[in-house]
Amino acid sequence: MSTTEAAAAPADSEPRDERIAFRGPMQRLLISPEIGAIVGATLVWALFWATGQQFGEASATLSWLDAAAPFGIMSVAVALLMIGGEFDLSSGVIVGSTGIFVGIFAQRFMGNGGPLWMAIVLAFLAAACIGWINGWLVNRTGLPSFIVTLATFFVLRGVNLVFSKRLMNKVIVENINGETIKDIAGFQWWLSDKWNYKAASFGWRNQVFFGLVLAGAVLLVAGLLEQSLKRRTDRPPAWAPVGTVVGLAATVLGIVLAHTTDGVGANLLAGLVGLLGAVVATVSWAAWRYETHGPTGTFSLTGRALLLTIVGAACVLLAWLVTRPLKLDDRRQLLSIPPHAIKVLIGAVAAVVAGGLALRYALGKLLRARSGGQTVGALAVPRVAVITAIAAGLGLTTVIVFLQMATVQGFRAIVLIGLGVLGIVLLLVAKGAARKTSTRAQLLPGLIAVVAIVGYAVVLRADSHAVRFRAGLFTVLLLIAAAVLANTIIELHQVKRVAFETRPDRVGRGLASLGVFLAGGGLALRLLFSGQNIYRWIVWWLVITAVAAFVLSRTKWGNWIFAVGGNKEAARAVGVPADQVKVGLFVMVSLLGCLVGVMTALRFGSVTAAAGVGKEFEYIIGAVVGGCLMTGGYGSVIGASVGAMIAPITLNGIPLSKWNSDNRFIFLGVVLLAAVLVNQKIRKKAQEAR
Amino acid sequence: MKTSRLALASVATAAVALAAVSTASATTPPTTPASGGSGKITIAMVTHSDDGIFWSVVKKGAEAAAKNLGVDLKWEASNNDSAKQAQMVEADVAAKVSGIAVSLADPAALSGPVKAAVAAGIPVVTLNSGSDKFKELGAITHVGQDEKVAGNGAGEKFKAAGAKKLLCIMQEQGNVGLQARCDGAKETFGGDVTMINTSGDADQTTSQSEIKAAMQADSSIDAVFATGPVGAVLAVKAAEELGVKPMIGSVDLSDELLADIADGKVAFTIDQQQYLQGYLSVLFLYLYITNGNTVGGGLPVYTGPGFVTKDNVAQVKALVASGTR
Repeated sequence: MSTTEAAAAPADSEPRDERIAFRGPMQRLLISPEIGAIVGATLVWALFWATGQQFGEASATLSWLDAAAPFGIMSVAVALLMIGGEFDLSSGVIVGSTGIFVGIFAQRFMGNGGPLWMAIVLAFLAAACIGWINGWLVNRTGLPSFIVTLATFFVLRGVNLVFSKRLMNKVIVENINGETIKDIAGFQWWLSDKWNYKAASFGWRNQVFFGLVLAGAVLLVAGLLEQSLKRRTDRPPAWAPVGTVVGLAATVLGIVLAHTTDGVGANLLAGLVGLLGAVVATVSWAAWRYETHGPTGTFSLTGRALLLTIVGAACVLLAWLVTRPLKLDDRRQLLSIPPHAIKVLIGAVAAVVAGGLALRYALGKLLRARSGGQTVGALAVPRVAVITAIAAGLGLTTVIVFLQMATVQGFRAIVLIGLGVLGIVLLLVAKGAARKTSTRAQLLPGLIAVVAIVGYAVVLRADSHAVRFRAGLFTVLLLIAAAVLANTIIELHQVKRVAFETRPDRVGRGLASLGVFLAGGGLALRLLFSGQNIYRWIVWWLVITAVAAFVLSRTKWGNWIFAVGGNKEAARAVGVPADQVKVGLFVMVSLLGCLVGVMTALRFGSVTAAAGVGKEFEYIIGAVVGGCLMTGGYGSVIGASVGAMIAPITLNGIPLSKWNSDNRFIFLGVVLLAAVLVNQKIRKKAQEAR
Repeated sequence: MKTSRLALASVATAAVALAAVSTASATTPPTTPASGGSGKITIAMVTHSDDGIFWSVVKKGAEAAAKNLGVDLKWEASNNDSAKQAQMVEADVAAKVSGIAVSLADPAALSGPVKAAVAAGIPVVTLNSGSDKFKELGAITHVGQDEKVAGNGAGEKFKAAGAKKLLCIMQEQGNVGLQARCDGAKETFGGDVTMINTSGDADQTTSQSEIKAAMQADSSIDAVFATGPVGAVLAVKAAEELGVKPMIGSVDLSDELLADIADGKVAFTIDQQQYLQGYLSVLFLYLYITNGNTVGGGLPVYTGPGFVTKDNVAQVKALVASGTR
């Protein structure tokens, strides 16, 4: 929420090396490579959660997690390789090749099939060889890995077809199951089986979940405060400890009440108790532990902060007003509703707005260039006209296409969520901008944002007949409002830290990580005891992501990967075994591809000759959305793991929301592009701000 | 007209003999069988075959017909390369074969050579693909399964079983044939039909979750029509995870699908009976060449839909193993 810690630094501090400049926890999160994936996945998830009735349920959640697992494992592998500066276009097809190999070997070796363990061992050996060949060829020839692995891709694709046809006489290898392969059971337990615990077998499931999430949230808040505020040395005020305890108790009471009562009034009351409790607890805790000072500056807003506040508030209001006349369960095609003139009007407005914005942007750029003393050629004016025309055309087309595809229901959800969230985000940005002038100026946008979020929560709840809106979303939004309110009050009178301090930073990070871990554990427990199938590879995916993240950030191999991806020759010059690192990465990708291939084959009992073909690009997209640069030397495996969720969330969400699945690639394309752009934009902004 | 064509055909047959003699000594390789010299009928079957399991059954059918009728069969597979297929037809016209059976996977690329063949007096039968184009190109008839008719058959089956809401699964977005199957099913089903695209056979995991999501989104779905065998098997798994029991139907055959039919998890699958496509093309050309018969009366001859259900699945399984189904 606050991105401007560094801006509040005293002006008289001596200029520092920007690499060791202090950054608050939020700013660190914003410049991390995974931010685009996290924002993108969260928004897409929220969209389908709001539109698909069953999307938030454990069954649907495990369904998309199940689809994401193999994809996530491969995206992590491909992300490591991309950070190391290379691509592997054979990463998709190897999943099919190894599965086909295992299926054929176990059924046809020496006439009636070899042992499965031998098939699996040989598949891993073969995969390692393929990875080694890829890496060796890239190192040896200096050709782009794009070309080398494209060749491998074609070869493997051909091999898949030839062998499955020649040996199984068809384009699919079937019967990889207990009937034809006797020693399969043990492998299935590890690789393709599932857990399924009855929801009733763990009666305290919900209570434990809420307890863990609440504890996690408390720790997370404490950790964030610890990292961004300065410890006080004098005696804290007497009310601070009391306020902390009372506030915390009120929060718990509020949440419990909201979940045990069902009347609208009782829920609202409970929500307010919880909200105020959380705020009181946080503010009191901050006053108890951290240094305070008097507020500075004036309350009035100026310039950009004022504009953003007005636009933000307008967006929230508009989101509410526009969706009033539209019905929640109206599934009619949007195009069939208003008379033709209105559609033309909407299109024209969109064209004018888009064109106008582009004109303003292009003209502004032109004028700046001119005032900067640059010669602006005769082509400048036509160029401005062309940009304006293109923007207007795009605006018109987008609106027409949108009207063509959307139902009233979908339109309503998009406006309510898109415009509402945009407005709230703008208000928060306004708050950050105002914070730069004075601690008092941020009070007004902060309070408006709180009112907007609370109002939004009330509107969404009253609006829906789905149970989860009444409790879940309401609680989440109120918690966000509480966080903003607490942040506003704390920023008003608390002293921010402007330099690194080893101990509080470490303690803060530890607390925040523990908080995330606890909340995640609570969620995992809730899913585990949902009575739905949890396939093993979801665990494989989590473990592989964790191991890869650890290796990348905490070991010398991680440094080596970044080094060879950034500049191979420079890395070699400082003693990094660059060739070995690259070969190792290619082998790792192939081995993980083999793991996924074997797991898929054992799980489904069949592999088609086309299995995995085309998936390599989706793995790369997952990695790129997750923050990896196409040029290497930068990226994150956690981002890749989260980025890999976007496609499965979308592909599951569309049928669950009963949208026409013909649109899915349009939607997916837009989402992926937006995620990458968000990534780039936020990172740039955050880097400028430091 | 008929008699003159017949006369032309016999002249052509004679010409084949001459051509065989003359070309055998020329530069081109002796693709035309030497037995052509004894006046034996040579039929060229030019398909877009990729030599996969499907086409191997077509080939078996054609070979059986050729053996039974005592004609020579020239099997030519272009592996989905329409330019190559067009060249093959042109070469056959130049070699003056007695008849050509051709699959019109790409009518635009093949219409020229096929018209040339007809103009040269060589009878043509289209098979597998081309039911809407064969007439225009002057072919005698078309032997194949119309995707829409296959879909019609599935729709009727679901309707007869009393299903009210159908989910149609297409494993390849934008595939004309799959869309026609779904449209055909919708036509005769009468009830409410939802169509979804899935990620396809290359990604079974995602496909299964998509099918599951579609079933979960609407609990009133009581029938599922998968337009391919992999999708049907995934639909069975998705239904099991959700604990629902819709009636599931499919198109084409696979071991797993036949096992699911035997277990009663899948109600039926539509068999193209592609063996017939090979067998009947050769037979129809033979009858035309020797006796001037035309089959179909200007309409295509359908080889499907043949239904495989629990009742005949054991028999079909044995025939699949011997490679004729």
